[in-house]
Amino acid sequence: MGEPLLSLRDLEIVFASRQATVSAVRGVSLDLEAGCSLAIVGESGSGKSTTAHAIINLLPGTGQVTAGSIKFEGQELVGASERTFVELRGAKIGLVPQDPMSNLNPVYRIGRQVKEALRANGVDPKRSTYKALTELVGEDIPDTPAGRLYLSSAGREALIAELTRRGLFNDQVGRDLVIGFSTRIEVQSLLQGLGLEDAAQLAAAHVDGASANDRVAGLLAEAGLPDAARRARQFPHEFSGGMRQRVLIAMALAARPQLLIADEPTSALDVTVQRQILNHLGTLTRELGTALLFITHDLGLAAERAQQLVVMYKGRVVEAGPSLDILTDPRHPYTQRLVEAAPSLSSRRLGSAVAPGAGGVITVSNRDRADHQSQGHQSQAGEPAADGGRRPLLRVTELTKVFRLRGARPGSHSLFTAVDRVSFDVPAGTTAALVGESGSGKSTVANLVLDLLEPTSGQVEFEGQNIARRSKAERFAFRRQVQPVFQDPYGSLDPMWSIFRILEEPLRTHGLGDPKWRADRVRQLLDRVALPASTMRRYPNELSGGQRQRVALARALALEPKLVVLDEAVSALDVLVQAQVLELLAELQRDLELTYLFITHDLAVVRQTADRVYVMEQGRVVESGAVEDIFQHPRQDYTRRLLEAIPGSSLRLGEPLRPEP
Amino acid sequence: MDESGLGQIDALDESVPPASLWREAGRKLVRRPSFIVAAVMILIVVAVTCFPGLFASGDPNSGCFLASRFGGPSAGHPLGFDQQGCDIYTRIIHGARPSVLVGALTMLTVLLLGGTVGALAGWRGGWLDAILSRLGDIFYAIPTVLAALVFLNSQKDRSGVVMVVLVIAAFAWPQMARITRGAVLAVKNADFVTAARALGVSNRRILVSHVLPNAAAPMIVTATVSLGTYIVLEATLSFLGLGLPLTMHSWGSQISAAQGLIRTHPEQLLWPSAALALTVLAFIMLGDAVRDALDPKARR
Repeated sequence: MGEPLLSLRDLEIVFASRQATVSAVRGVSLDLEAGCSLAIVGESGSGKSTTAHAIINLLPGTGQVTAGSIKFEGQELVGASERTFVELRGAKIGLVPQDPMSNLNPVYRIGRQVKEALRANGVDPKRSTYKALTELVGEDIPDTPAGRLYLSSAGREALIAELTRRGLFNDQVGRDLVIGFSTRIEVQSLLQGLGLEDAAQLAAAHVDGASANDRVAGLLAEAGLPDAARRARQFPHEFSGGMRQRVLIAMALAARPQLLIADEPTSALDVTVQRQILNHLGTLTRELGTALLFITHDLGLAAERAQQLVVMYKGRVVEAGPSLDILTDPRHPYTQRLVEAAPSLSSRRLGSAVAPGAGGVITVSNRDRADHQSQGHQSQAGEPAADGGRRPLLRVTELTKVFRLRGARPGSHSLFTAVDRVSFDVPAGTTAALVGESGSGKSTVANLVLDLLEPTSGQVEFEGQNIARRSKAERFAFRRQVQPVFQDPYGSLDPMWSIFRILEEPLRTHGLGDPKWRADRVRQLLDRVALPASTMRRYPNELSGGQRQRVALARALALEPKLVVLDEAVSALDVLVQAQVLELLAELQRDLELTYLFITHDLAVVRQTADRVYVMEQGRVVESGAVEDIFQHPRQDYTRRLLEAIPGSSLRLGEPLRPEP
Repeated sequence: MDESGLGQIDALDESVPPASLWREAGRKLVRRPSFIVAAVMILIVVAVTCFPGLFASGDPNSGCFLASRFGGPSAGHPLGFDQQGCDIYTRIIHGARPSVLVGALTMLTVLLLGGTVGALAGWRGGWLDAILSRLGDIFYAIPTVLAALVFLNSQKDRSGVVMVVLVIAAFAWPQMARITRGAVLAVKNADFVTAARALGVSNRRILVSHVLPNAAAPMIVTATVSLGTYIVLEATLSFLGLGLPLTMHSWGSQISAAQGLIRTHPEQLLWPSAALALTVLAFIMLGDAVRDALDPKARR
């Protein structure tokens, strides 16, 4: 295939601060052939984004390439002038940024911003030079990507009038003729399909290049936005996150670059939207023959979307090769751990109380537990129906929460039902998972269970007692029984407080022990979550995300609660750290006989942690069942979509792999 | 294990001292030259305020001899004499106290009043927020100097320090209230506040021990920067003859006395103005340095 499109050799990137220089990328080499796809996988801080940004010279702040080479189409980019990069960016190398919410200018209309992407890269949708050339030569030059002519709005009108006159026009034809999108060749073959003999002449007469506005509409149509012309006149805030990301992809591809860099393009989006966007990105790059450099932290996602993988760790490439090879036979210990930890690839239930339905195997941990609790439920294995006889620790019946939203006029309001007649039981010592996309009402349920919100109707029973009908003292006592852990490890610890104060607060609030006892207890708690005792003098900003989350967990455990509500508690963590925290949760559940209510959007994590799953959509529980049942036989479309959205779900690990044709 | 990176994830640098926000801010501050300059200037001003006797031997009100009227600098009188024959240097040294006193007391009053109103409005929300915020807007809309003119003019006696402080604070608190309200709103919905509620911590405890400490940074910055403007405001009122009694020799009244001499004896105007400008500059520089040090974005 000759020279690769993009080639990095021994790339070194350094961030220099006043005190020290930090090596972000150390000796990275990789090759990407034209029209192929390659994914760089790594956790935050591994240097994956830094590498990608170095290619288009958009390193933030003090970042600097200190050694190595970056060759694009054989041209050396290290040390190239800013002018070279300006010419390359957009025109030859497109970039899809991570966060669609902040990457569109909120004061300009969508159309104007897409048009800017065309204008900045000198794209001439009318192809005036091309047309001048054809006139000079006297005949049509073959329709090359460079010489593509698009259907204009005037041309479409004229063509439709012509077709109507001949009685050949119908709605389907109308839909197939897209302004700024259908090329002369496409129109010609469409007309030939209608049986017209003068198709070539008609196409040549009517498809003679779109105006910039028409092409913008065409690009948006290409991005899969219906009613593109109207959409182009809207502002970014009128678009959803997925739509904005489509617009950004359209902009990145507007000038038909040879290489598209997608930097975690879907991390900020909802799971089901993620899948759509990735499919769209895949289809477009395949059709246009654009090479794709994909940056992600999710190994499953990377393996599914790219032919080649490069695994980065601490600035170094630890493993590279074809995706499937790496997944099935990881060589480097880090990659092995990554493959093991990737929740999207694992189907193993981490040891806990109830074994998954399929097979009904009692795990070792399970038997331990059965020994712990001599009386009560012997037959834990098999279906959770075995729990039917016991009184559940938590019972939620017909729970409904209606919010009043302020209307446009003062005084007016509308009602929004966030939670709609939700019922479920959680037996003691098990894990129930509430799954759904953002806005499905799952976090509202969590707050209702935590007694942080008042239900509009329905009730939450804890140990058989309705939590709404209680005295103040009983409420206070309830706080000791039910504790939350939140998603964002950076927001859930007070930055002004030392770890010791944070962990002592629950004990002091409930007036437990004397200062010395509390200090001992804090030490115990830290030990419980595998943190050194010296951590207690530290402040949250000195800890990593995983450490903070473990402190948050220790705080939740301080009062020895029976139920822990985990509100997306591992979603913000890197894969390996996530695996570590999940292991810890399983271990704690085993040792302390905890009951978990797991709130998440990530079905892959659910599979590792939960016994029963409740799928929520628009405030309702649409499907529920044992984990394996849901995973094997999803009944609802919505559940199926959620399952498909798990990156890597199409890869069957554990079964013999056949390389894709 | 180490290969997998988990060892490093768990590593905790034991060598460095724990980094609380204040300690880190302090460390950042001492590295800034502008903070050092401002701090030295403020230390001098504070020393002069507390112990004027250490810097000037005479009494500003006695020892004036008309014979030495407009006399140039001489031994023991580095800045010369004013139109009453009083020593300019002594007067400027003694003028620091009323200016700084008014500035500092106003700042404290504003912190207390505006901080309380803002914290209540932000924390409670709803109708209380609406009422307090609109009340603040009303006071904000009144030009301070104009209102002070009207109010102080209606007083029979010449007003004292307390009166000037109260008048300035009465019109300056809305700004502090707004800042506090915003900061409280930003912290109010943080997860650690929800976590504290789920622990059963009382509302008042949460406000005092979680929310306010986290909202303190912008309040402190605003207070430091506006201290300078309060000193200017006092000088303005004294210049207009409405501020402190003339016997207190605030810089404002000294500037007022010298205004007619700008053509003949400009140095008479220059010295008190320079003292005022330098003091205000020092506080504004300090505020800027503190703002940079407390910038939450610089901290993770």
